[in-house]
Amino acid sequence: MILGVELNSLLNLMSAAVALLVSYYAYKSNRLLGSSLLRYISAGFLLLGVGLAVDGFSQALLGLTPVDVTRFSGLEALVFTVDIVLQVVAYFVFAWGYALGAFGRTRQLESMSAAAAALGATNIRVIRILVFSLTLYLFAQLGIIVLMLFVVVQGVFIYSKSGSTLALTVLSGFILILVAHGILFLSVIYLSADVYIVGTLIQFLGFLSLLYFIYRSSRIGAA
Amino acid sequence: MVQPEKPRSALRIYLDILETVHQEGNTKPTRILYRANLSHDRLIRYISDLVTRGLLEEKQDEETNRYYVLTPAGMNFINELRRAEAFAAGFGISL
Repeated sequence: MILGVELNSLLNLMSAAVALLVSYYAYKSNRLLGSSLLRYISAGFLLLGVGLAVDGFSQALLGLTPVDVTRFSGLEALVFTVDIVLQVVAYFVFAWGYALGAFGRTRQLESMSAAAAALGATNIRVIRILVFSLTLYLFAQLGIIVLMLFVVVQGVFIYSKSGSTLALTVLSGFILILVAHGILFLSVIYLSADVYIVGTLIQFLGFLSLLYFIYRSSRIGAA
Repeated sequence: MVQPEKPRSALRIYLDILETVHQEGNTKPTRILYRANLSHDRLIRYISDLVTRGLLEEKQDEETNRYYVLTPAGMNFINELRRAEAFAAGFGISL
């Protein structure tokens, strides 16, 4: 279990590094091109990078992931809230940027009761933290999934229009991140640490795809 | 239905001019005019802007014919712009 937390933490920190790198490149490109979508991409990846870094460090320091929600105290719930809110805002910023670009131009209850049963239902404050954290996480993940679906659909339109392999690499990254959030959502429903690791791993693969995109695009400039 | 082509942005025109000079070496204005597909007035405006910014240098040969050469800053600008263009293409943004 500790190994699992360490692996999650490492994957999240590496994903955070890639997200911050994408944010920097988007910022740099925007200084030359002055595109509003690049501004949103830069801001979104910055928030996502900070969120993932908070996630990675908090998991390393506290030794807990969202699937350990039954062991959350006030501090863990606070850190976890900051992290998930940052992620939701980041994905909202992406979706908003793409929207401007495009148009300007029952299991949950079961798991909650299972978690409450695991606690022995003795401490009201702990149960409140649990219910708050679970509800926030599940709604946030659902929100992220909806926003990412929108981003992926826009990515499909962009790729089908341009046929560019660079656009395909970005689209692959976003699809993997979308799938990862679906798995992270399920991991908390089932309170499964193994499923959670699979989710973080797929999310990391999504960020690797974005890292490959940065490498490819910078190679073109180095001609 | 055939979509009308989007007009070139100023950045794209700058890049076309700089790439022409980069590929051809010492380049006469008429050559740039032909390769970058610009009217004479617009060419003069864009070139004087590039010279003012230190990206192109204006020179004269023995017969007092003007020609342009790319400065190191101009070469650096081409590379930066190509990188930014490739990055932006990933998100469906074109110059």
